Amino acid sequence: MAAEGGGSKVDSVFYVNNKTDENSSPESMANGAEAVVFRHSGDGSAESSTTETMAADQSGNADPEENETKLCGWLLKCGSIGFMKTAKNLWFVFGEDTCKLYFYRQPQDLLPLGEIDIKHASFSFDANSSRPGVFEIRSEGKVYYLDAQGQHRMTYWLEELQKKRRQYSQQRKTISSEKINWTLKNHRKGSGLTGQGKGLAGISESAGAGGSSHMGQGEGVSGLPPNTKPMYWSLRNLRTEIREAVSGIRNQKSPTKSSPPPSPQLSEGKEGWTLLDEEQDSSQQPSGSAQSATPNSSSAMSQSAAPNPASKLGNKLKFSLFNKNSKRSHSDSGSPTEQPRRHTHSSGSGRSGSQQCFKCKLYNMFRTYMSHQLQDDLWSVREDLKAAEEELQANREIIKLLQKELDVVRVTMETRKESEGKTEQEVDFMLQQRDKHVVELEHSLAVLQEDKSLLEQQCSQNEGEMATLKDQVSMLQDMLTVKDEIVMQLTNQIFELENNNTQDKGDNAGQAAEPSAPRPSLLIPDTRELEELKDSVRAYQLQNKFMTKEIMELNELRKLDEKREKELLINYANLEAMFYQTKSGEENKSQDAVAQLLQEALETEAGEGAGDQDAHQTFLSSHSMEYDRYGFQAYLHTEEETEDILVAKANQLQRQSDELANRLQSGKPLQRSPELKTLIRLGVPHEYKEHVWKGCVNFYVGQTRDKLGPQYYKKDLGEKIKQSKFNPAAKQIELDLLRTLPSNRHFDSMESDGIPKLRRVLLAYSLHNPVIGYCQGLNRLAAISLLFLSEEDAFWCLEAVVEHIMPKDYYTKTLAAAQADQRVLKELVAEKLPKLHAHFEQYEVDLSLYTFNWFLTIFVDNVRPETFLRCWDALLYEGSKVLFRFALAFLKYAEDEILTLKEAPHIYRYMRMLGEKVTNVKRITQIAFHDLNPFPMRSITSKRLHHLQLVREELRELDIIRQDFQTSHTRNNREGYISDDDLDDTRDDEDGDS
Amino acid sequence: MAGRGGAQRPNGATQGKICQFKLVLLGESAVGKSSLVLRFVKGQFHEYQESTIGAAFLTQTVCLDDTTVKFEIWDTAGQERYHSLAPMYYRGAQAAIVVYDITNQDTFGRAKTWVKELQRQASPNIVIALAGNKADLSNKRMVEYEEAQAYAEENSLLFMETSAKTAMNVNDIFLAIAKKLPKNEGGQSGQQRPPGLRLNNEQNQQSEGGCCK
Repeated sequence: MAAEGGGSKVDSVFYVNNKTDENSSPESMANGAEAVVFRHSGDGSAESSTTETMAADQSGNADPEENETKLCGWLLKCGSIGFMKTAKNLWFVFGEDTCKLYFYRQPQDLLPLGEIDIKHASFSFDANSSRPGVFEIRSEGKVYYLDAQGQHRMTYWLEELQKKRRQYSQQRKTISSEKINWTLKNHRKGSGLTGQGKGLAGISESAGAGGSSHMGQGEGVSGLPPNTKPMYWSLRNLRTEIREAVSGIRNQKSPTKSSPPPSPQLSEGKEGWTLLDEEQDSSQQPSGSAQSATPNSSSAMSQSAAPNPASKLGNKLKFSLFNKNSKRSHSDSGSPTEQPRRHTHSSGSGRSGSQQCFKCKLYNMFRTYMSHQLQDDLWSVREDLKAAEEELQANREIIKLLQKELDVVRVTMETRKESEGKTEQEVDFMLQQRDKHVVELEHSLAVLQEDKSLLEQQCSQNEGEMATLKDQVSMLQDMLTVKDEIVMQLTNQIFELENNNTQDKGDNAGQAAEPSAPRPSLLIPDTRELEELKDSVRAYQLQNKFMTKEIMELNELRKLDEKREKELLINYANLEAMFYQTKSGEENKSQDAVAQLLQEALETEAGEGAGDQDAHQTFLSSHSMEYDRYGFQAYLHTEEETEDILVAKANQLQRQSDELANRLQSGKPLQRSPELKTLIRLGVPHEYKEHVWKGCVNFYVGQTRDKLGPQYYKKDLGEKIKQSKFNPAAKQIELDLLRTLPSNRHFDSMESDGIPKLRRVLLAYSLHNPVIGYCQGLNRLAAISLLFLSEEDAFWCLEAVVEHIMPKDYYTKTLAAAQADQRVLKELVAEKLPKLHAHFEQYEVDLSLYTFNWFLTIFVDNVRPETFLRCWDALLYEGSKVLFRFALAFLKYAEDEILTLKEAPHIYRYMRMLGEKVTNVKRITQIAFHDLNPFPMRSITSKRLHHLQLVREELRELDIIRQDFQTSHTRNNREGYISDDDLDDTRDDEDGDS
Repeated sequence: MAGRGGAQRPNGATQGKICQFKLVLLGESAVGKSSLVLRFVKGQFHEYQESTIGAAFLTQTVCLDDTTVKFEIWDTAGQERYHSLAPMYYRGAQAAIVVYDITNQDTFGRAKTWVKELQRQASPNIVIALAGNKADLSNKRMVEYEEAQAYAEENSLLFMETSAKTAMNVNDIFLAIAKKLPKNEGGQSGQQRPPGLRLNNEQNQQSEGGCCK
């Protein structure tokens, strides 16, 4: 049976690109999964009855082959999970009759890989999916993902599937009625020759074949070529042909019965369809195909037509039809394509219909006539039966009535018999009883009536109550409605308010954040107020902006003022510093000093000799003074005049200076004066050094010297030196003589002129001041003194320095005052040179290790002579404060360089060289006497006292340790031997304690 | 801290570490402390070296086999009067040279005093060397070599008779001290070495004699 379908199927299948698909992108065309394809089945059969109808509708107008289409095509079937990867390209075919979607690996495959039930399926697709062609079918609890590879194709598929589903469901509902329509249509058309002929041909064929239908089918199966097409198709063809045959039969009916009665017509239609379905079942079962046979519809049909008197006839008809079908399919097996086969078939059938089938026709007509006859008979019999039954029913009722009457009569008869049988007494009794009973009944009636009236009253009451309640209800309803209205109103208001609120909020958000004012409940005033508030908010914002700006500006102004104040403060500080500098009474520059001297000179001159006002004015004018001290305007001289006057002045000054020098040389005692101080600070010229130093020394030792007499040094001390055979200091002095100023030609050898003097001075001093005796360092002081002073003056100079200028205990055994001075200096460094102090602190450099030498030797220690001589000049005149001035000046002078040194040894080394590095004496004096101001002596004195105490305490502790050590040492190792130092020690200690 | 490091000297004389030690010279006045230092540091000698007031600071570097030893030398004043300042200088010193004059017995006695004071008050592990200076004046010798050596041995001191004038044993005694000094960091042995005295890799160009001279 599948054999004849085999070859033809491939040819009959041709691909028709969907219209929408054609219009879509060419890419989709190139895509391997070729769109939706319609397969035109050559025999024009369609599984579902709906398509069949369609085909039948169009059959009269056009070729059915082109209109009957099958929904099929390539689709990508995707797995439900990770479906992107497991997608398979499969051939999908929609089974019309089963309403299922079958899918195959290839279009030629016999057996489908699977099926999807569309009947109860639902479709959906993701609109936002990355793959536009994917849609899903949910059926029987499963989800199928299919990719049509293109949105248009997908929509087409979905639309078609939906249509099929709808059609199927409709078909199931209206199948019988449609069937009627269909038959009626055919009747009305009366188109028929072909159809009629076909039907006849089919019948004649079946008749001609003669054999059993099963046999025929078996033949069909046996005759199947080995590599033919699916049985499915052949079966379909078979079924189609069966239907055609049936339609032929039906068509044939029309001429025989022009106006058939409605009920028989209906039944007949049913029967016909039943037959067909039975045929389908029977034909499919032997073929063994897996196709579903629409059991729902068939069973429904068979049920509807179940108890039928004509069933036997139907069976017969079925057999005959089957025979015909098998025969037909057998004969068609040789045809190469379906289309030609169709032609031949139709033509063949037409011919055979006209020639052979009269007998059949007669038979058929007879059969139908007979069936009608029989049915009519059945109907009449049924009616008779009904009438008889009705009569029976009526009779029964009559009998029942008669029986009842009979019973009543019987009862009366019995009572009569009883009454007749009883006595009068009994009757009376009975009557009495009955009377009683009557009375009782009456009583009860009355009671009941009372009850009734009561109940009526109650009822009326209730009614009244009910009326009032109803009134109340109505009232309440009214109230409810009113309230509803109010609620409505209120909700409306709220809505409006909310709208307003949102608007306001929007406005507020646009503006700067301001706390929103609480909103009043009424609308119109609310808006008005809102506006006002908004205005005020705007105003506030403006104000706020302005105020912030104002604050900023005020801040700036304040900053500026602060800056100005700072500047003023700095100015003030500077001015103060200047004030103090000037107050300390020293003129900064030599020019000033000279100017002062000049002025003084001029003033004295002016006092002595009159008429020198011009000169005076000239001098003043040279200082760019516009008015003189008397208020006269400055006299403007010509250049020549000025020169003359200046020369004259110079000469005059020269004279004065000579006078001063003469006065000095004449041995007049030096007198303290600010001028002299200034001059000395500027450095005493070599030729005046002796005089100035001598004069200065005399400030300190003049009285002592006078007291001791002029012979003290030369005679008294000279004799002492000669007498003292054992001078503990002499040995050390002798050792140090050549080590004092070894680079100075006056002291470089024993033969040098300075050495004997130095020896004498030192020896004399050690005897003069046995407390100090000789301290290393004094030799240098004496030597420097000897450079400028006579031996005796040098001695006194040493005395002045050690006893008067330097603090007490400077050269005594412990050097306590000298050590204390180092601490004072440290403090001063911290005050005046804080950076340097921090630097020393950081590298833990002990400044005193170096400055100690400076102080003990008055800078005669690795310092250039010009420098230390300047210090000597000032020191002799001013005192020991000069030591701090110069020490600090040295440090300040080298501050920057020292700050670059980052290691203690480097700093120490630098410090050792520092004295030699200071070459600019002018600068040093400038720093010492001006830059370091103010430099109050009082604070230095107090500091000295403080530190001296500390040092003494420390030294005492050290002495105690040493004393212990010394005594034990002496006892053990140096018995009986007392060194000069030991003697010194005892003396010094006594002195120190005193 | 001294004794730390390992940087190379620029001249590549040694590849070893650089140790820095504080050394103090003590002794009676005019025994030749400053002369010894001058000889060691500058290779010079002055017959009449200016007497030292307070103290003088000098540096010199000595090359050992694998170590560069940098001496910070504090040359103190010898007069007894400056004795009170001495602790300032020998505080934290790792080495000391106590100098006496072989021509003056007193100076030897004074040296012994210094040794005792150092042993008592200086750093516990201080390396003390005894130097009998003016060895060139052996004809005026007052302190016998044996006596001094015996004393040195007794007190476990390094001992040499030196002459700053002839440079005899001057470098040797410094080298001997350098060798005896502990080169590891433990050499500090808890001394309160001023942290300000740090190691510097720069070579000390101050010394004309250079190391190993």
